[in-house]
Amino acid sequence: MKNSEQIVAIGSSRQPDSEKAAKEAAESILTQFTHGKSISWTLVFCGGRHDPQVVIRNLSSRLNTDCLIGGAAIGTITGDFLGSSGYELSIAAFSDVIPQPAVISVDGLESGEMEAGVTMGARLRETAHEGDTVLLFYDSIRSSPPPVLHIGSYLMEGIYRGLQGKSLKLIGAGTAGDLQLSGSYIFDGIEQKKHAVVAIVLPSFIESHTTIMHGCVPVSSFMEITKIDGSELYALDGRPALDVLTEMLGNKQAPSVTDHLSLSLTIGEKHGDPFGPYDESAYVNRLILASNPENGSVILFEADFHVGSRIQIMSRDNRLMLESVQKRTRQLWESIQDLDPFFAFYIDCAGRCNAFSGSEIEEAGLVQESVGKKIPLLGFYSGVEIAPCLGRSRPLDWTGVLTLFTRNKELS
Amino acid sequence: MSDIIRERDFYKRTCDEMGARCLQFQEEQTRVRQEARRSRMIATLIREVYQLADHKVAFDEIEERFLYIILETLSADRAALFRHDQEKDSWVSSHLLGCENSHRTKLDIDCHPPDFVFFNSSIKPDSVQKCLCNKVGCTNLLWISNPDSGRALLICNEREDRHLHRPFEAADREMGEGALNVFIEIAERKKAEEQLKTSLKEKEVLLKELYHRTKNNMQVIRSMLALQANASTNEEVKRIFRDTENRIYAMSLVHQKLYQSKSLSSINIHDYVCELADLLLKSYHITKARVSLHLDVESFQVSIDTAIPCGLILNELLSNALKHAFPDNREGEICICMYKKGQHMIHLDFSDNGVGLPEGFECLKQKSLGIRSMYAIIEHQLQGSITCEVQNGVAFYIQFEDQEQYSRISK
Repeated sequence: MKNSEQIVAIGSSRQPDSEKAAKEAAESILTQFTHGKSISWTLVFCGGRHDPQVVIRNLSSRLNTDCLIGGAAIGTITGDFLGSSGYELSIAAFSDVIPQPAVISVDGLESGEMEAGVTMGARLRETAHEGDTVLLFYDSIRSSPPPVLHIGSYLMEGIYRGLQGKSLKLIGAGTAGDLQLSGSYIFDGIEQKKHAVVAIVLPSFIESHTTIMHGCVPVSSFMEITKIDGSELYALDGRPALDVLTEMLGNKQAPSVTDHLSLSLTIGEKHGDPFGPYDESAYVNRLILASNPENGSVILFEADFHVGSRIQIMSRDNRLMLESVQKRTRQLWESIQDLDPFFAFYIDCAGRCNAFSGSEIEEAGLVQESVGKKIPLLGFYSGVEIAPCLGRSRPLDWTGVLTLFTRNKELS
Repeated sequence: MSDIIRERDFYKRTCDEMGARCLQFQEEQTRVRQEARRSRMIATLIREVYQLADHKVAFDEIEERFLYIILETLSADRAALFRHDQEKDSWVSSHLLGCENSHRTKLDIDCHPPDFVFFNSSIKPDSVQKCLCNKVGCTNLLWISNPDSGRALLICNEREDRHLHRPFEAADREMGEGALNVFIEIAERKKAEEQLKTSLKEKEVLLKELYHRTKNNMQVIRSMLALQANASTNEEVKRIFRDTENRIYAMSLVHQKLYQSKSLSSINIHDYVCELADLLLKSYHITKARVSLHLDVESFQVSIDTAIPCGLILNELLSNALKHAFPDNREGEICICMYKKGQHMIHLDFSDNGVGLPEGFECLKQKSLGIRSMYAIIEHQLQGSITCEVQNGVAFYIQFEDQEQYSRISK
């Protein structure tokens, strides 16, 4: 993929050997950056079967930059490459046209997502300018097995507290290395880290344009959460949550494992007018991570629902998902193509890849078709997506977040 | 009021029931699609494995590439290939993928598994299944072996409680056997290809060496003839030696060009003619200022069977012209034009603007070895034709077919 000024080069590999993969991806980048252009910084996403240390070491030496930011991925996506075997490695390298951004790394998610978020927010407040775009990646796995997640909604709440009203556009993801959610890490520009969050403050002249792809429809009337503790949902309308969901699924017996439940089902909260017509972007959806037949609870991916929240049971709909991707990608492209976008970044919920969802085609393939053939595209399959939604950036489930980047010529 | 509440509850209930049906339908559809995807997987797997037959994939890469295809297509966690070690009477891994440090780990399966074994956590393991599980550290596995080729394939999943990792079952035998058999076939073909390539390489080296040595031997003969010529005081003898030397040079230059060429079977006629003509001018101590040489030779490849006779013909024509056409330091020019007409017909037009031939001169009645041998080469060896014109010097028009078309290698 060549853009007129070669601002971004994309490299990929699916070599099973980590050293060979890093070499192959780096060589692909270097062949695109000719005429003495040097690499300013890179975004790196690495399949969970790779040895991240080997990847980072080899990329750093071959690309001659230490500024490698990103993390683990369930799979990666570029303009002509897509996979979720765990051996994918994809890189976006930015030329010195885009100066090295400020990178902020905060540890300690395992001790408290909120506290880590407050620290991150405070540092972002000092570093970023009003309205800047910030890419944010955090290690989403607290422990495994069984998988226990870092709660993205606590982290985001902390960040907003730390920002103290400063308005930033936060886009990012909770990283995961495989669909079993057995491990994860981030690259913070210096090293590979666990239980950490990294933020990239993009220069102010870079503007971002984001669209969120959905794909869930409500299949129940409104229900009220009557008991919840963090991400553990105990009761809906006074009944054990697991019973309600099991009944919806038509099962006589409650499943002993989560998988059966999570195949098609999410919990959605509708924002705005609850009785207004269906609008996919009005919903915040939560995937179900696990169930506990002993106390009848289900554990959600996030912890942003409260007692009294009015939710609906949602069904994932593959056809709607594909329609949403087609429609929103086209709309986004048409709205900004005159601004000369130079890079597309796609954060895609791993549950949407067809190995998991059973959709007829890869929905990321539609993004490749409509955007990846025109400008450099980097994407990855994530655990949780973060994007501006309903007034603020928040963690999302079962979404695809596509961002196109343009340069404000006056500011640059 | 109570009717309104009852109505609301009715619609709410109906909504939930319909929603539940939608959800169950969606659930069912997803399961069916996943099952269909698994079926497609088998087709994809076989298709991907067949792509390993591509000549760009080296033999030593195919094991890793095959295992990678298995992992990616089946979303498996680990895969390994084994060879049967007859001495140890056990299966020894030749390549593993998906295990930590897999590239450096060896597995030795000595529990004599049958050709097909599958295992998942719902099965009570027999001793062989136990052994396999312990060896690979997984409770969901598939073992396929092909005793005739001494190769086996093991596929494992660490978990079986995800949609992607359904437990292996007896019906997976066809899939495993299909993949392994295709791999074995391709591996054997690749091995044969590699052996063929190596053998071809060896033959190329030998052929180069042969051309080189032939050329060197011809050089030695030329040197010996030169020494003999120098030892003689008879000018006629010296002339005969020099003519022979030049003929040998014409042939040795073909061999030199051959071992320098990529194909080892043909040379570029343009380069060859230029070099040969240049040397002959030097050999007769004639400067280009006195006799200018105009070469209009197309660039095309000719086989050794064409190049050598062609070189000998040119040698004779040029030598004769340089010796006889420009006596008494007379100035003049020689033109050599060579081109292909059609796919195989080669034309060689040679002319000089020298003194011409003596009246009544008939080429075929000459005692000169050179001219007689030239006619013999054209008419008998090349099955070509030659015509001679005397007008402002001499012109020869020769045409013959490229000998390359009469391949000596039976197909």
